[in-house]
Amino acid sequence: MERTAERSWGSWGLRSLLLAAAALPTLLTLLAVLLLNFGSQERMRHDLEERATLVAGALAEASEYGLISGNAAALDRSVRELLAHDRAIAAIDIFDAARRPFVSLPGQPLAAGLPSVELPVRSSVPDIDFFDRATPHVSMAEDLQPTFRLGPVAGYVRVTMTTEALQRAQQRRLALELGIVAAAGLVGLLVVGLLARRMRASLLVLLDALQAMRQGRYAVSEGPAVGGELRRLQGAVLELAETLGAAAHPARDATPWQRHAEGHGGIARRLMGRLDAALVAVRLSAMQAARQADATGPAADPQAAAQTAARILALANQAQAAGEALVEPLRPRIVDALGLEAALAELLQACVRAQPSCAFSLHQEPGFACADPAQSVEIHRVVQEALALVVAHAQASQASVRLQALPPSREVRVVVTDNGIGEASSGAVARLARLREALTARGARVDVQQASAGGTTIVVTLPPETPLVINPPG
Amino acid sequence: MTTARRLPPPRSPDRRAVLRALAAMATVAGSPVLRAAGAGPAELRVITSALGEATSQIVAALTRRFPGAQVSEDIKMLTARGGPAVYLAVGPAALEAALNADVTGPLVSAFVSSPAYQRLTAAAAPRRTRPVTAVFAEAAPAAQMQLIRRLYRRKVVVGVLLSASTRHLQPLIERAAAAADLAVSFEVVEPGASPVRALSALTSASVLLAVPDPELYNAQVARAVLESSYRRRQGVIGFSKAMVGAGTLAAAYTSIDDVVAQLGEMLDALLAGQPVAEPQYPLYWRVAINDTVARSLDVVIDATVRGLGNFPA
Repeated sequence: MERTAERSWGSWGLRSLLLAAAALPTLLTLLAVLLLNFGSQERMRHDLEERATLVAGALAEASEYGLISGNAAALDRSVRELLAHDRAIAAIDIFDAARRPFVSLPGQPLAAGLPSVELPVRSSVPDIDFFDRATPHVSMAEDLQPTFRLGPVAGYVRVTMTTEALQRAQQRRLALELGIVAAAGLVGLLVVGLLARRMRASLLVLLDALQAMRQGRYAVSEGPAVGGELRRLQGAVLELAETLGAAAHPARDATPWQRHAEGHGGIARRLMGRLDAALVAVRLSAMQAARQADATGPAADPQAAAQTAARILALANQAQAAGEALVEPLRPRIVDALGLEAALAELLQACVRAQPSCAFSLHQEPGFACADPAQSVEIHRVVQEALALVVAHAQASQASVRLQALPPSREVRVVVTDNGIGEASSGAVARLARLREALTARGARVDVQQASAGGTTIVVTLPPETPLVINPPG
Repeated sequence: MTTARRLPPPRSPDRRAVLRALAAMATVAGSPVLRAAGAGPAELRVITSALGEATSQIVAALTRRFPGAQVSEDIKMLTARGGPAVYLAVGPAALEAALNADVTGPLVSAFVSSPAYQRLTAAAAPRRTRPVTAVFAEAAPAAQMQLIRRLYRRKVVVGVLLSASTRHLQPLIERAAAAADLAVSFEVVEPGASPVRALSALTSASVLLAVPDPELYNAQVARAVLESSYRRRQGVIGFSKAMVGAGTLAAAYTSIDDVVAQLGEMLDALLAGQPVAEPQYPLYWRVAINDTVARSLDVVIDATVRGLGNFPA
């Protein structure tokens, strides 16, 4: 049954679901009001009986003098006023001690079963000697504080209530309550309907956008302005469209994000072009420098040769800067996104996948912390390069990475150790040399120790703030 | 604790029977054969009903005044003592027992209201052979009229409800009112009629004088009478201190010591062999005031009102 319901609810549209969610509380409230009203009949009767007891008690107290004195007119007047003020009282009957009618209002036959209460009229009488007792007739010292006792029944008061007036009032109240609940429900449904309409329009726009992207059309419209989760969803879809669009048309855009998306092949091509142009310029300048150096006699111009050398140096610097700028997108974004520790853990997992026979471990010495993004990237690169050597050449079964902070100098030490055969191959040596050269150029110190029994330890000490040259493109 | 033993319902003796009883009493009182016996000093024998707080106080006051008095609830034991004696019945029950017993000496009734005395003696008259006299429990109508005159300081109309059993009081009350320069209006309540309804016939009265008549004033109607009179701004003058506590404006009443002082004089005379005197109202009396009721009725109570009365030496 529930599954059927879930299936049926699951097939409902967004608007239907929202309208149902808005209508359900209203329906439940209406049901509760009706149920409460249904149970109020007994309560009303009980209340009427309590009220009748109260009125009869008060009337019994007030009727004593009228009954004893026979002053029916005064009682009749009082009872009429009471009836005029309280519409819930159907009739009031006062009888004398012999149960003969004394006052009876309104004096017409009443329907059977109405709540009715009858109380005797009994007053408290002074418990003193009116010289009518058999004991000595005498005034005692304490006689000024007489006691009272319950006297004989002087009559009876019967109060009959009617439910008609209260029922009418209750029906009016019920109608009002139902009206208010229904009106509130309608207003809620209207508001929810409007919201559902707007939300549905936004979702339809996003659906259309996704469908268009699926068909290769990435120029999607933003759609109506929305907030909250819908806005985030809208932003994500737009970003996805832009990304996919940029991937489909790489040459059209030049933003850093799109440059990152170009991939390593594009960067290599751009790097090759820049370096090729720089090398041509350097070659031409070098040829000019050679001619100037070969010239003798009056043709010799040392100053021009020096200028040519300076131009060659400037060209080399420009080529280096351009190369670094082109390589900058290759910076590991994972460090920015996850942080250094998570990025290194991810790196170790990648190494495990590449060489399952080797156990890789990462240790951070107490006190180690790296808040500088550039330094974090540098550490990640060092570890990446060192582990690449281990995976490619060491044939180790264990490799560990240890990070250590050097507090006085704020330097960071990266120690990569393995128990492999050592980087003895020409490829490994060349790669290690390039690493040493690159790191030394950036101010780091590199120390490589190879044990005779096997195993290699690479110790890299990085400066406190490793400069990371990020030049704007172009 | 006072024992609330109720008297049998009054038999409403007619005027003729009451007059017959009074005439017989006067004749008997003057008869030499009913003088205190001369064979030695007579003994005072006090007949009481069941002991209660009031009876105890009365007996204590009497034995202080008459240390040799014989006190008992058992009238047969007292009569069995023999010799000359004067009998004192304390309360209605004791009086009724003494009237129905074979008592040879003079009988004095005390602490019995005048209507109760009249009713009991009238009921016992056919078989009574000894002189009977009384000191009534309630203050004399003259004392009540003095109190009313002092309270209102002017001539006002005093309303009085009477029944068949108290109708004989009318001349006495009229004389007392005239002596106090007051007007008086009577309403006789027929048997079975409501005394509260009868009050409507006394609307001209400024004050209502209550007499100790159980048909008119009892616990059942007292509240309605007080309420009705209060609605008409009529003060009620009661006949006991307890009635003042229950809501009447004031009352002239007698205390135990007042009655015992008067009884002392009367009993001394009887014990000395003097003839039996007429039943009489208390010589000594005092007043009780309900200040709350007086304030609500705008009746000013001064020291002369509070000090009103006749006190024993």
